Amino acid sequence: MQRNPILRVEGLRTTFTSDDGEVVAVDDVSFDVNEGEIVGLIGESGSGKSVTALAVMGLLPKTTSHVTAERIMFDGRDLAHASERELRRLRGGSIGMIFQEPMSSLNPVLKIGDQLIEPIRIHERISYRAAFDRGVELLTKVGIPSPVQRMNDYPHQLSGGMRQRVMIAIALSCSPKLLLADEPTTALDVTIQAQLLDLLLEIQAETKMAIVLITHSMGVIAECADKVVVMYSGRIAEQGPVTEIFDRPGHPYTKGLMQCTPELTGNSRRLTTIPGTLPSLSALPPGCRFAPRCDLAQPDCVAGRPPMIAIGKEHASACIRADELVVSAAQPEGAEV
Amino acid sequence: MSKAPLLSVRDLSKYFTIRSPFRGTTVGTVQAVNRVSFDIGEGETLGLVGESGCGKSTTGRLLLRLIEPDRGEVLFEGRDLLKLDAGELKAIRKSIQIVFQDPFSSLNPRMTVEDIITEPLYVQGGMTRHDMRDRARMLLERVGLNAAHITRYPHEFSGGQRQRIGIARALAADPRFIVCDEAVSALDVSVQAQVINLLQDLQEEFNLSYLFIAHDLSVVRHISDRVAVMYLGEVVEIAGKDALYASPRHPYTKALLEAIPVAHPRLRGKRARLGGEVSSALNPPPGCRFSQRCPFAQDVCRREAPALRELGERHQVACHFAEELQAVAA
Repeated sequence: MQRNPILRVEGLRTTFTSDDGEVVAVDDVSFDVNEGEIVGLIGESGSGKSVTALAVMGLLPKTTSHVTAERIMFDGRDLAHASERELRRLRGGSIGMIFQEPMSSLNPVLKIGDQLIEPIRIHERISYRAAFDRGVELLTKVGIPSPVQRMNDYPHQLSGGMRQRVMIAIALSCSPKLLLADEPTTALDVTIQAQLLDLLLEIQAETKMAIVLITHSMGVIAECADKVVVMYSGRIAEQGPVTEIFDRPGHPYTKGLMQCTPELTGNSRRLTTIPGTLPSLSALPPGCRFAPRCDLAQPDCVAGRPPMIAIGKEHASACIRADELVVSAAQPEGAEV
Repeated sequence: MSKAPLLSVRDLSKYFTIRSPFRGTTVGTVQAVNRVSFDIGEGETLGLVGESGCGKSTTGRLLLRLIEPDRGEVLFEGRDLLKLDAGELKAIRKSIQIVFQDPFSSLNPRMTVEDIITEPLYVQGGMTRHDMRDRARMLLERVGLNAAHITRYPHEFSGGQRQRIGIARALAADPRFIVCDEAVSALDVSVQAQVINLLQDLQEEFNLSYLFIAHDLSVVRHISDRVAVMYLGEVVEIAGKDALYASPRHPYTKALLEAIPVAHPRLRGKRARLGGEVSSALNPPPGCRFSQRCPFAQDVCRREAPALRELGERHQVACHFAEELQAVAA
């Protein structure tokens, strides 16, 4: 296990201009992604997980958004203070991206082959022929049958799962060191999701690239991630190694998320729920943003923003009662194998 | 459970003809729903699962005749819904309601919550405006919303709240049976759990029966008494949920269950994965529709379509080799 961070995000903050004035979508978010590591970024809609990825890449619209960060170090370069020219060289090159909707992220009027070849020829000075061959190779690698013929297909001729495989092929085309995958399997059926997660893990094991996997599914996290970053309402609620998070969740929100997913075993009649709904970004509660929905909330919780408290090796939680939570989870449920 | 089921579906089929957009000639037939049969008892929940395009939503709509079936029977309290004329159908729709997937497009943005909830009552007739409003208030509170919000419009609510409004509307005419068509799929997990609990509470209180259509297998397991699995327009297996999840008899059910992500990182490991993708329902292959992807397929599977047959108590499966597969697994 190498310990060198390939990506280090420090103090990322993103604001949007909306009808309700300035809203803070991502508020002081910091995390590391080590070389060859899969970091799962989990949260519900509006938690800021996608915005975090887009902000790191400098892909948010400049007219309506404002991104600041102390530093966003990628492979020795500070993306927060990099020029647009520098960012363009990295995007699609050393940093690959996969988005949720394979239909809207592929150009419907260009052939698969052309979309696959484009980034290769932009980032590397090689001939069309060589790029085409690389494209065929990549399609083979992501498990697309008859790849030469598929190079001449348009996106609408492929199924959702196949389109997402093409997206993965495009993201991998320049052998990235980091892959940002934003809900890559959310729109897909469970059998196709399983195939694609296997594929990602296989490629990751082979290329040793780091992956930031954005998802709202605890199952996907349990299946793939080495490290987990839990986001709630624009802030990090908890982060730590995946087994730690599952065995000893140090934030009531993480615990709630795990409990309200129905299990495949057991016979509970009622699901444990998290009362209430996610707060609107234009009307955020003071102090801990989870406090209004939290059954452990006490007056101190709303007094100020809870700091990240270390509760284990590389495990930290933004809950002032994290220690009590971890103690109460000393007997992990469902730990028998 | 010896008395007659509340709803009994027999050989329900719907084929869509695909025509060439220019010449109007028939290109093929999509067998969206093919000879589907199941029963739902009073107060019972039947889960209906399958991948996109397997015909589960179409099945739900066929039951309400929102899409007209081609063939088959839908017996509701002993009457065949497919033989009713428009007036009789309207009267019986009071007892059969539906909750849709998308809480954003299933509520009319220009109607107030009161208008939305009372519309079924208005259509059925026989109630004063005042009574209808009282009922709407009562229903809003029952589904966990503030009765004072009756004058608001759908856009003023969050996704979970809108789904509650959709549920209140389905309850308005005092139904006995509700089709929940991916009713919680669009919701965030924390809100999804609340709505699932609400549906279960309402079921107990009003003795409702549900057809719960969903693609999330863990949600279906939680809420259902029995589960039916569909593949390419056909039901391949129906069983009590414990039997189905613990010992699936159809290779497709088995593959579907194995594809569910693990619940804990310690349970990770290589599992058998289903290769390929759902083939097209346009001119499906002869024989078993799953045969192209099935790891156990034999010649007979590609020739003869297996019928849904009884295998143990209330466990039905459509596979030629269900017994052999069971023996191998044991």
